[in-house]
Amino acid sequence: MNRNFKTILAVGMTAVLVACGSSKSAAEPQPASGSADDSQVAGESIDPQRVANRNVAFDQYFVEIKPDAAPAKPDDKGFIRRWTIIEPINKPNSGNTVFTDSYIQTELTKEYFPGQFSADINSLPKAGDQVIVESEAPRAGGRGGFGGRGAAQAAPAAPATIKDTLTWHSVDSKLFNIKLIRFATGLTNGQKRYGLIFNAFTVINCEQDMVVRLAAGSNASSIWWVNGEKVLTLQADRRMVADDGMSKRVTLKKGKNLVRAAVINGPGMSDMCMRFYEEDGTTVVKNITITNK
Amino acid sequence: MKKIFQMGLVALVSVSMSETVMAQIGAPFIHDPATIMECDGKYYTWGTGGSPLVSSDGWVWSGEGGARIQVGAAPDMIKIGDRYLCAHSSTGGGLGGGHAGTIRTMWNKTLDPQSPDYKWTEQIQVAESLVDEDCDAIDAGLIMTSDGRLFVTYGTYFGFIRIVELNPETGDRAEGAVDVNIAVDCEATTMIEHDGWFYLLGTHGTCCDGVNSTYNIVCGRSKSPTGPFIDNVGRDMVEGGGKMVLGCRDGYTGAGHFGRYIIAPGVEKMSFHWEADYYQSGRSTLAILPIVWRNGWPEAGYNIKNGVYEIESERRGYALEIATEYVRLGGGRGMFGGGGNNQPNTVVAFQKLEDVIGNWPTGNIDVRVIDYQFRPNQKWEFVAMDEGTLGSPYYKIVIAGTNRALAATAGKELTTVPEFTGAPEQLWSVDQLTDGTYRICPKAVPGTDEKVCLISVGDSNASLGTFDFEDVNCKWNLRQY
Repeated sequence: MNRNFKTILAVGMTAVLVACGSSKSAAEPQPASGSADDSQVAGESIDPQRVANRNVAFDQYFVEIKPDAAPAKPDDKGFIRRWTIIEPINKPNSGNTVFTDSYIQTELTKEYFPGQFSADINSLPKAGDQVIVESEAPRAGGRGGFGGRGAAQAAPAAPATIKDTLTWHSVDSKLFNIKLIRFATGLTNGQKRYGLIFNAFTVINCEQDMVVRLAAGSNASSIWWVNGEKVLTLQADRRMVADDGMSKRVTLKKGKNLVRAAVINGPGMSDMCMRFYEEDGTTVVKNITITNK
Repeated sequence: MKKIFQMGLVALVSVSMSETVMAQIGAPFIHDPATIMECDGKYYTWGTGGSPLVSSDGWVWSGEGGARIQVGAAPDMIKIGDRYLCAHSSTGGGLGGGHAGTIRTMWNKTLDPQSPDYKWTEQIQVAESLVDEDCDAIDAGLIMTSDGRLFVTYGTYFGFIRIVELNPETGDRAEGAVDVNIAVDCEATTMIEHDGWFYLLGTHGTCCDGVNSTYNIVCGRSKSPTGPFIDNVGRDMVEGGGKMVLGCRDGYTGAGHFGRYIIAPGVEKMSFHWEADYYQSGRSTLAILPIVWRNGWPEAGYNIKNGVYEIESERRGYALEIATEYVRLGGGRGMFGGGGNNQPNTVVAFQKLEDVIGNWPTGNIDVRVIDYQFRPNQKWEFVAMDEGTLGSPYYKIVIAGTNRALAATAGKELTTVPEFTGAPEQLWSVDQLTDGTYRICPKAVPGTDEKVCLISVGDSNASLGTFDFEDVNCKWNLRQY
């Protein structure tokens, strides 16, 4: 999700403002645009909450869990916080307006590694497993806003490809949503931020067959599968909104059920959230447990 | 239909009044308009970059008479006492860039750049975000609560929307103030208060993509200015929730950057921009529409389109008509099986203007209020003019098919004149009220400066009187069939 004109224009105004405005002692001097300086958090003489707000380290958002971790439950609102996510795949886009229906169907179902869309619950990767993925190279030049590789630059005529070794991570999110951008930046020291595809799965354990609806929100587009069946697509440039989309009725069978998600974003925030509703679409499902295998 | 008119030496393309009355006319080009302010009889707003728009009537807008102010993105404005407080922002980011933003405030005694008092105070930084933080401190929105507390909301599509309390005397952060996360991934937030609730309004969707923009204004509400703000289906705005206030209407896409202007109790307007106005080259334009409160939620109302309406009293439900001889129609009366049930149905001819107009008086004709029977003397045509009031054009109101115009008379009464001349007493503002009904006011009444509106007196008569939102006599419904 993004905008451009307003912020781009504002960039141009910034120098004027810095010159004309008085800076209060409430904050340390801001670094110039284009620099990355996490040390700003340290040493600021501002209230603790504001300092905490600014910590975007991986462990502010996620707890890494082991394959044999005890099953989790949905949170108080039914959100599924346990996911196994592979480090993001490069898919550079200079904006998010390209996320048409056909683009999403093509790019989010493209197989980058074996088993990416397998419905076999007995062959799921575990935390620490690695795969080698060939993907589009981040585009040269970059915007450099964070000292990263500039995934958001305009497309060259023939995109180069690179090979990445990507690792699976099982996590419990500290938030109701999965802050994918912080998953990316936290694991790559900010090198991966925008222009990415995220693939994730979770295992839902049921004591009996249940007819439910999968409800999800994502920033930006996403596709969701249950036991290998594509049940929901959220196309277009969009913000993450809880229950933004809700699937047709789908049966979670007694035992283990595999839920997969794929999310793509260009520049801007990237996150996702998911929970199940009973078939009435209004009653949240909580009588399930969540594992990573 | 489009028309060309001149403002000074510049020819400006106007919106077709026959098609729409949903954006302002003149040269209302702006993005991210600040909440509209009135100062010394003129209305002002500023957009991103500080470009001004000014209007002497609230309907026709241009940059003339305003002064650019030295701001970055998306200023907002509020009047506190006899001073105007501006909050605005800057960012070092941009699409794909960093998110180091700042919110700054500054004061001025006047918004008229010609005034000797026109001078902005030194800017004060009141909030900021780092280059990499789940917040981008831009898009300030100001609210003074009913108990005298001043807050600013800020943030954008990248992470949290935050609120922090300010000192209403200085515009600086209140002592000990803490920034609180109240929503996520909105743009252009602001807060309003209504009926014991605080409403957080923000913009979702895609900005700045011309006719493909999906910008839309949403809201949630809370009993506290620091939230949680819950939408109509129980979602917290921190979870992305938000009930739509306005998105798109035919010919206009991408409503964003809400601001509220209360004209009088029950008469509220929302200012915003359309990302793309199809009738003005797809440019981003200032728009002002009524706010209607429905089931406790704000939504954009409607300026009536040109067309033929019944003017129905909210008091009784009767219709305004010119007092002409009632002409009976033949047909019908089959309620007791008369005429035989086996006869084929036929269409009863509607009474036409030409059937009756020959017997109407040629001079002024009084008005009255009576059962609506869709007769020619009850059908009123509204036609928008090139001048207006805040957010609404003036209309001429004539009997459909004629030029016989509704007019105010000396003594605050009503008549219809045989020919519309454009005189002030023949021009009417039509404001949709917060309950969805309409207030209809003459631009002027001969012999008095008193501001009055069309009122019911008894069930069957109409007059002019002082507007009171609590008085059902002051409200009318405009029906189309």
